[in-house]
Amino acid sequence: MMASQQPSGAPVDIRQAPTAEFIAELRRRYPTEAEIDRVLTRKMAQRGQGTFVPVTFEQISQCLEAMLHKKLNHGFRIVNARWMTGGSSKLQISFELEWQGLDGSQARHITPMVLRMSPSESIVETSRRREFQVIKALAAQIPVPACYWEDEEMEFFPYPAMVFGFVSGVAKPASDTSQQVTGLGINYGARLRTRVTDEFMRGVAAFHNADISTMDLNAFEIPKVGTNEGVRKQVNMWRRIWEEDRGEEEPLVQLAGNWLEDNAPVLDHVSIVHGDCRSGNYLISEDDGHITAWLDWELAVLGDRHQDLTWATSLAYSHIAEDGKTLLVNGMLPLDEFYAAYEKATGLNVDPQRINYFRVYNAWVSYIVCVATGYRVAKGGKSHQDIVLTWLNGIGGLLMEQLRHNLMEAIR
Amino acid sequence: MIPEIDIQLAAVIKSLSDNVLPAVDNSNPLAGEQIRLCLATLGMIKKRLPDLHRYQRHELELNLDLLTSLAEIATNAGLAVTDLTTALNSSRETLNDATMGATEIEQQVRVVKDKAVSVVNAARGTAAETEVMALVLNSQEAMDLCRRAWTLEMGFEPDPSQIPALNQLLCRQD
Repeated sequence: MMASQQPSGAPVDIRQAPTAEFIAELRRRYPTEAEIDRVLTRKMAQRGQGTFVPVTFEQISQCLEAMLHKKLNHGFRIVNARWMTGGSSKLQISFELEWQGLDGSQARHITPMVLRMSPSESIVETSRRREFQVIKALAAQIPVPACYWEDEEMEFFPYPAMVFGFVSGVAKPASDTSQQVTGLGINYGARLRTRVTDEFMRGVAAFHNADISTMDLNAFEIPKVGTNEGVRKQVNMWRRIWEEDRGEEEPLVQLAGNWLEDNAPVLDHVSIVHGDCRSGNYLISEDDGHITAWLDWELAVLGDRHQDLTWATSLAYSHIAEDGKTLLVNGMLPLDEFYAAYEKATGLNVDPQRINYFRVYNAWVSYIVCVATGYRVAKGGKSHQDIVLTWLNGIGGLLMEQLRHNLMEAIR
Repeated sequence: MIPEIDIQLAAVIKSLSDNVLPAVDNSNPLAGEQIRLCLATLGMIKKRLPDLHRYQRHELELNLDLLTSLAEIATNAGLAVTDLTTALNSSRETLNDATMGATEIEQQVRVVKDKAVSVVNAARGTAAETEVMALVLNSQEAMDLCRRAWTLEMGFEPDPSQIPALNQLLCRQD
């Protein structure tokens, strides 16, 4: 596992062009869910194969046409295709499909859709199949985009892709003028806040209490209640990603990883965990604040609800209310009121000890994503958003300080 | 005299702002977002470049302080960590050698961090673990503050007034 030396004296960066032995060793050291293992192994195997080559409209259109010809048994037409912006992770193109529905039985009509495709490497390397399955499974419970097709095996597209329905709505109301890169600290304003909060709680209650035994989620492993095997696999996954992507070691990241492994809590209830559950990852109607769609399910896991609760109540997604003094978590409620509203909506308790655990976990994960993977993707020129990733890299000092603070709180 | 990097960067920023940015197609939001981020990145590089060498030396000093203390704990606890003394000595040599440039200092920081992680792992599950944990946690604050001061203008800090000026942090006070 040691890096060898180049003739110039600078060490070879094994992570930039990993050997089969390096990949195998990380897989052995950090066992995780099979689908995640497959995606991460593919990422590492492809890493040495050059930089991301921008995909043109023409290429995308050809891939889309080819896929639709295979999937549909009737004539169709793609119109108004255009790039979408926002986010730092996946390529997204909106288009309208003139068609007769999935089985060809409907009258010809137009459906707005979104094509979501990974670049050759992404700030979070995830499975389109898992994302597709979880959105589909939740369609009857909460507003999510309609799912049409996934191409995880890259049969049609150069990188894993999926197509889902376009949903109208905004991540943040026009009245919020904050200028961050992603949806940090969204202020819904006094007019919309109550409705957004109510709908958020109802939505979270639906997926945290979902009956997963009736759902087709075979790309996920179901963790056993009464054990900590699920969260340990998650910790393993992020330790593996840290080892795959980091530019340099960090004693505190290692220390926190050891602590998370040694203190993984026992699971009391299996929930569908969104994995990035916070303002900015659902769309709202600016008219009345109702949630039109829950988005960005790529980090979803089956596990402990407190993981979502700590994302939602992170300081990064909070802001001060109109009174100039009250901190509203997730742009919604003061912390205690937020937890009370959650318990009322879900019937599930909020355990302060698990909250402390997942505060460490989430800060640790955030650091790994922004500093390790963000660095590695940009170093290899692997995405269409390298400039965004190098900018996000700048949040490292703040994230590390949050990790330090949260770990000190947890061990006190 | 070679071209001054500061003036070259200023010229690139001016060219992109005055001539390229207005020509970017408004109907291509990705291009618009990225040209603005490119300009902000170049502006940050221009501002921080003169401080780079001093910053890296300071980072090495802070990490060397941590490793020195970790080495003491490791010795007292009988932890088996190889090449600790070599890493400490080569770091001191790097700091004392005026010919060491940014790449060499950066590389030395990585050597020190690797060794610090070796001590963290060697202490895991031993009587020394609590002491190592406390030391790492306490040492981290000063390092974080420097990074946050360096990236202050990137807009991530919830309360920028709490972050001291970079120059103030880089003046080592022993």
